[in-house]
Amino acid sequence: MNFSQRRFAGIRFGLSISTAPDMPGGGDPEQVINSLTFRIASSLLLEGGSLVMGHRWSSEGIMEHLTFQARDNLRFGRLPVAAEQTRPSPSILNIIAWPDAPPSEDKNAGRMIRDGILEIRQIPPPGIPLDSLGPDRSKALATDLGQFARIRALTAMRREIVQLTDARICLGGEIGKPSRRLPGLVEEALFTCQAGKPLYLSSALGGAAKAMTDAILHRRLSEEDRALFFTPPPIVKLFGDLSPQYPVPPDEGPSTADHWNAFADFQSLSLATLSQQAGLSEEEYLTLLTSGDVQRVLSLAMTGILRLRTPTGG
Amino acid sequence: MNQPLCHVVVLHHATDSTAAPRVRALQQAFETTRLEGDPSAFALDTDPWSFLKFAAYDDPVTFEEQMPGIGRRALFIVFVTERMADDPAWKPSLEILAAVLPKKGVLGTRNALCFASSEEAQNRLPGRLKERQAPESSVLGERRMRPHTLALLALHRARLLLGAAPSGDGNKLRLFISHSKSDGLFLAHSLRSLLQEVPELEKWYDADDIQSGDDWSEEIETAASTSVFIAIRTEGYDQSTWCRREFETALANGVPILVVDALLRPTITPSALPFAAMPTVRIPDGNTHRVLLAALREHLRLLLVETLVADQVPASLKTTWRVWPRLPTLSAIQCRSVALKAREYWLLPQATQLTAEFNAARDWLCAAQSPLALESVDSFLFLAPSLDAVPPSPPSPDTVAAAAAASPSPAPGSPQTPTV
Repeated sequence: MNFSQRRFAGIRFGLSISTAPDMPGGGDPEQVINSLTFRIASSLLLEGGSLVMGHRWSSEGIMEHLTFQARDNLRFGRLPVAAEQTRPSPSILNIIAWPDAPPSEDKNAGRMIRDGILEIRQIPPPGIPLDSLGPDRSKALATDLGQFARIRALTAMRREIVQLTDARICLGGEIGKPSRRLPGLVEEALFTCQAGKPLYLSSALGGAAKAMTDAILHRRLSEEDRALFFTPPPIVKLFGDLSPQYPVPPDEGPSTADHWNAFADFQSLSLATLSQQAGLSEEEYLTLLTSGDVQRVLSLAMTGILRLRTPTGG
Repeated sequence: MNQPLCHVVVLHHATDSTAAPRVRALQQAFETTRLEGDPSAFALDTDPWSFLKFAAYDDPVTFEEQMPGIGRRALFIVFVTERMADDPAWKPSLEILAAVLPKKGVLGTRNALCFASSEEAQNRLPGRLKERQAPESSVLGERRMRPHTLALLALHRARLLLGAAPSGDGNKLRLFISHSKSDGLFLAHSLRSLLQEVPELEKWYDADDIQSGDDWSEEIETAASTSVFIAIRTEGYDQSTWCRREFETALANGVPILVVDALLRPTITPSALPFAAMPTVRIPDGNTHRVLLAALREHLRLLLVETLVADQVPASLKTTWRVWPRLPTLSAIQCRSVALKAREYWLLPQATQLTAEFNAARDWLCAAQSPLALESVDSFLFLAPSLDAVPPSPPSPDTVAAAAAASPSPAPGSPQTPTV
């Protein structure tokens, strides 16, 4: 047994995990999701990986908890200095979208930032001067321009997150929140595939991730699930109204007025490419997509990541 | 209805809307449910869990009525809001509770976990309850996971209350995470992290607990023989010499074992290790809380049987005995029977399906004139005035001192099987 090297040192992970309306099993879905996020994140951190998260910081919430975990893990295994130096700093990079702001009053967040464990970056809405949105964020969000800015900031945040990460694990996902271009999970998965980065997508917790799996496998989707891949009409109208004044680049993201067809994007993804990018065989990737066993899904994801890390498969 | 050996009592105000998820999590932890796929499950009426009583009260009058029936081993879990602390109806109940608790720092057989919603609520608590108050946020970690972390802490505290068991201080056994480095590392890491979240719970994890310069082999064997053993069964587990050795050590020392089925492939290859005879848990939803919950429950179940036996064996008998969670391995019997100088009883709290092995082991001990005696405890444990005396058959209820531990399968059936 040898602890001289952490296997994920230098790798940045993205986690897209959230509750889904059709999540299997009983209990409190939020608890299950937080517990699962904590479980995956703590394993990755212990192995020297770092995380890029889009969650908003809240006192006593999951982000605070993960930073405590990251801090405690620094002492794990008594690694030699040389191995520690490969650890990317910070352990947790928190990317948030306007109008969310860094928690300047939160003592724990401040301490973690000072200790180099946490870094928080705010992504502004692209091409929209913050002055035009006014100083009061909640008031700004009540306006069409504020909503437009928020939606574009969210997409920009997800692009930034994907750019900063080396691999993504994707489970669950809300359905039926027509207030943005696409559900966050769908946007993050789509951008990850477009960037050619490993995507570990699983239908085990249902939700948007299952809809994406069904699209990739060309399965029949319900109308509700199919709607996940198309920008809701009110948002299309909002973009149509405001894009003359605040132009939206055509490649910025889905849901611009020209109806970017994310459904077709997912249907065009091949199992061969996805599996190769993820370090898995096609059969393994199919199991990853379709298995209802989260434990199995995570084992496959870790196997794939390790194979990519050591191309010989060792 | 069995007389409870241990009570777990939750108190909260009827208006406290935050209590519901916590009460639910505690109920799930303590209620009489079998582990899925547990081959050593007991018949329901004699399940050791039926000797533990869980109750939640949001009404002080009902609690005060029930209080005299609460035995000498009790864990009280109190969620105090300002409204509860100010409520004159609750005041006598809280004072009664404070009066039955031992001093702070003394564990005793009655204990309390007390969580106040605010500093104001804390300040209004009577004496010993106030001493025990802890801010929930600092003790139980992340907000959403708190009910389940609380359930784990409560299970741990319940273990400590069963102090009459011969394992004594060992009641707070550490949790040993046995895993293969090749494919069980990630789940092991998760369990390690989760264990660190639960206050008071101790773990043994090789990367943390073996210091440089230590004798690895000795350290691992010592830890595996004195811990609640969690085996993460992956494809690589059987292939690892270290894992096999850890498992065999745990088996030979009769510590509670829980197998986590984390096999990747749907087909199971035959194993040299007796996984099929062990309580097993699967976590298809990835919720690792359930693993710790099952491990602590497995230990608590054994402690309940031990406590039941300890309560019934008169101390004047000065008999050495030990309850095994399963049939001891041949190597355990051989090692121990040679080392023993005085007679010692090993009790098996359920007749397993291994009747042939049991009889062979007992016959072997008899032939070797070992001071060790292996006794089958069938549906009930009979305790006569002397352990050497055999009660009349069939025993009348008046002569039977106690009943414990049962078997879903028929008794071994040998006419020579002594009854303890």
